[in-house]
Amino acid sequence: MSAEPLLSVDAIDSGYGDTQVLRELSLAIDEGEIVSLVGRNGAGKTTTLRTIIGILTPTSGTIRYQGEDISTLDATETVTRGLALVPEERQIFPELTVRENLQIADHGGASDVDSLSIEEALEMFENLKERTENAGSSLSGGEQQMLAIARALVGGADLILLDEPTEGLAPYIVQDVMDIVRELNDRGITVLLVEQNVHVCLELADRNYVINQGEIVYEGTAAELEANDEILDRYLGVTA
Amino acid sequence: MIGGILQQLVDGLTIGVVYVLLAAGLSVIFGVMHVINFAHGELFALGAYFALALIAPFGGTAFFAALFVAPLLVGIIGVAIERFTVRPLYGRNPLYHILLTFGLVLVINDLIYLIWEPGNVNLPTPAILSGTIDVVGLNASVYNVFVIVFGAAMALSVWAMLEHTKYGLIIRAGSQDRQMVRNLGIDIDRYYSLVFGMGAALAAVAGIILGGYQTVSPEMGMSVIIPAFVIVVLGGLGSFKGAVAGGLLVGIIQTLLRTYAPILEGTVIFLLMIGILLVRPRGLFGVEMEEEGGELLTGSGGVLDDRTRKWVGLAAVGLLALLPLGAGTFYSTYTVTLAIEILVWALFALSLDFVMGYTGLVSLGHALFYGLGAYAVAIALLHVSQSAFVAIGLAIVISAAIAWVVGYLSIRVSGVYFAMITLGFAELFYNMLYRLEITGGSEGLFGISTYYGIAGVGIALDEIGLFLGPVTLTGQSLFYYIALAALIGSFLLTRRMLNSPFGSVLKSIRENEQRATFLGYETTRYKRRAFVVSGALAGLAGGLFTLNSGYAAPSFAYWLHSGEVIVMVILGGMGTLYGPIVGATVFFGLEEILTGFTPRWRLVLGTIFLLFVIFLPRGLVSLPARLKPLVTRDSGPGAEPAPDDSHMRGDD
Repeated sequence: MSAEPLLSVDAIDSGYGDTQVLRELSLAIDEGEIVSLVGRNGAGKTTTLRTIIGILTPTSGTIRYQGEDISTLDATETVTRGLALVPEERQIFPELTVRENLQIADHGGASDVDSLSIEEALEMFENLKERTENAGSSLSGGEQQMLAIARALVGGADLILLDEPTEGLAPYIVQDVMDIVRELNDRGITVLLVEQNVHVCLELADRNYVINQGEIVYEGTAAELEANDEILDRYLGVTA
Repeated sequence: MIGGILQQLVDGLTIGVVYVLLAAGLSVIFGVMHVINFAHGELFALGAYFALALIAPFGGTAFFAALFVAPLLVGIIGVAIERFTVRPLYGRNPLYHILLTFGLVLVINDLIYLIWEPGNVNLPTPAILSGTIDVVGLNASVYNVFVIVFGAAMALSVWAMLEHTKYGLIIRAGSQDRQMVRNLGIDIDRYYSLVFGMGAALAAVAGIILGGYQTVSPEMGMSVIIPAFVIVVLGGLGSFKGAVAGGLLVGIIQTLLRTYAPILEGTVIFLLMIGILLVRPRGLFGVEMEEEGGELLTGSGGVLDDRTRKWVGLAAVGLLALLPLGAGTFYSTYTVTLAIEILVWALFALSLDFVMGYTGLVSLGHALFYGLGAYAVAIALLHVSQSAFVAIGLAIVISAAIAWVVGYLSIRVSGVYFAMITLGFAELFYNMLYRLEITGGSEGLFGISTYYGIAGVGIALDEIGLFLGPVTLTGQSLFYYIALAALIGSFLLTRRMLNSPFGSVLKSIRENEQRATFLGYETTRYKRRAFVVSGALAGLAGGLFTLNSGYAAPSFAYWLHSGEVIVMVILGGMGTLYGPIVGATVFFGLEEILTGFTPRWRLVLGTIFLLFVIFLPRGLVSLPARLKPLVTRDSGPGAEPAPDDSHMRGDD
């Protein structure tokens, strides 16, 4: 592992208008890791991702990516450096076809990992390959999730911020999504996974951060978290 | 007969193509930026005037060069407009874009008057486009054929650009979800200027080809903008396909009606739009769009406490009551006439504020009710009774009844569509005024006299004069008190309503309609009731005007009137009831002062209004609260030490 993490978030405050959501939140991700950020509804998970990608600007603290300060950059700038957000509820373009949804992301971001061509991405997601000319809105929830991930790959992401990728999906599709996340990781892509579902995190992530009321309250490997009944019970509502 | 119809179809297609080019830009601009661009008609006129200027030195042959260069220039102006006026308003409620572009209409239109001569001018066309040509047995003018072919080629290339280029892909994606486009690393704001510029250029092309077909005049923009909106709305806001289908449809229908059923011309397209919106609230090809956030910025939250406010109000009323006494001594009697106009418009603005500022219903057709009141009074006085009381009573009842019908039909659609459907109703009424016999056609009704009383007993103000020592109260002065009483009465009535539980529901609807629904309120019914009250008060305002002036004209219901009253509400401060009164006073005061210096007062007024929308959207009444920190800092007791000074700033 390199000396400096790929992404380091150092004591950031962030929120919406006068409402502060994140309080001195810090976390770090090394290249090639899958790291999860897990917590209850309203804990600040999505706010963390939105601040990292640049939709929100932290009011204090710094965010560094590949050694550079990206705290004040907006989304259009962070994405060209190799970050990608796969937002909650996927947010694919409903009126565009599957192919167009991928084309729009294909604008050559600066990237260590070679960005996937549209054909390569379609090769990876077989369901999508059969429906390239269908409108995004005609896809099922799981397929939309795949499309949103494929879009990030076509955009040349090195670090993907995945916001609740399994939310609202049937259990067997959750398994498909988890397989995809592993496959991404095998291709050398780093993943920050935000989840409410602890089991997904425990199964996928190398390390886990537990967030509560805008603060990181725990950090540990899957095995450590799984063994820590107190944290599981207190912050995640899981009784072992 | 068949030949005649075919000929009509060719003419209809020609006009249709002009509409398509105009509506396409309008629709795409809305789709991507959610901006309702009222200035689009003025850009259209600018295109024709630029072409006129370019062709003048060279003659008709320069037409083709102008067809290329003029749209380019207008496109650049479009980019500048987007960058410097539209851009600061992104993220606010789309209403502010309507207001902004309405201000631009005033400014650009007056600039056209300033630079070019008023009146109709012919746009020279090249010899090659004159004469006729045989098309499948039909003798068509070469110019028509050129317009249809050229316009079709333009529309096709815009379509191809939208469908098959990266630029078009980004525009289409942006019209569905702007933030997500940004999340993909695309700086969509850069594309906004281009889209606006492109729309402006298309409008310019439309202006040039219509100028060559008919004539060029400063009013040409105003006359096409409303049909263009109808097309965009009935086709579906943001849909290119809808703009094309709607443009051709309206062009052909209008042309056919002009020949075969002139009485329906001008009304059918509005009926068509209203009908389509009622069946398909998103238009023919419209799709569900992300709901625009951005609250309406009200002017509430002043610096005065309730007690002081009450005293200021009473003092203002007292001063107003004294105003006619000084007429003829301290100032001319014209002051009273002007003051009556201000009172009437203040009442009109107050009526709009009641629905716009308190329930968030942006009525773009409020002149409908003003016109209804005016005509109801005129017709009642001419045909029913000469009693002013009977006439004004009828005006209120009729305006309220029509407001209920309009409200019933239009409140089911929301936001921009509501604005458009109310505009449609007002234009429908405006066009009917021209065509009906009972309303006196384009001349309107005039020479109406009345008396204040009932059943033949009362007084006529025209022939009265009260002599109180040095003070003379003319009939005009006495009417002033009637208008003042109507305004104060309406103010107290609406304020009382707003302080009742009914008012709380209205305000909760403005803040968040869905939450009001979750609390168990049937919001549609509350909105409709508020709309009826507002319509009745607007009718009262229009009725008062006709009572005093003795005439009613179709222009009362013109869309510019609806726009002006919105200007007054915003100028003063929406959602305050007294703000619109301040706004009406300042509006007429400015007009009065400016007309003394320049006939182009709209240019100055429009500019002031633009600055207001951009920098002071909460209106004049918010000024004291904004200035307060500055004032308190300057007039602090003695020299404040520096740290305290910074503390004050931190407080803001």
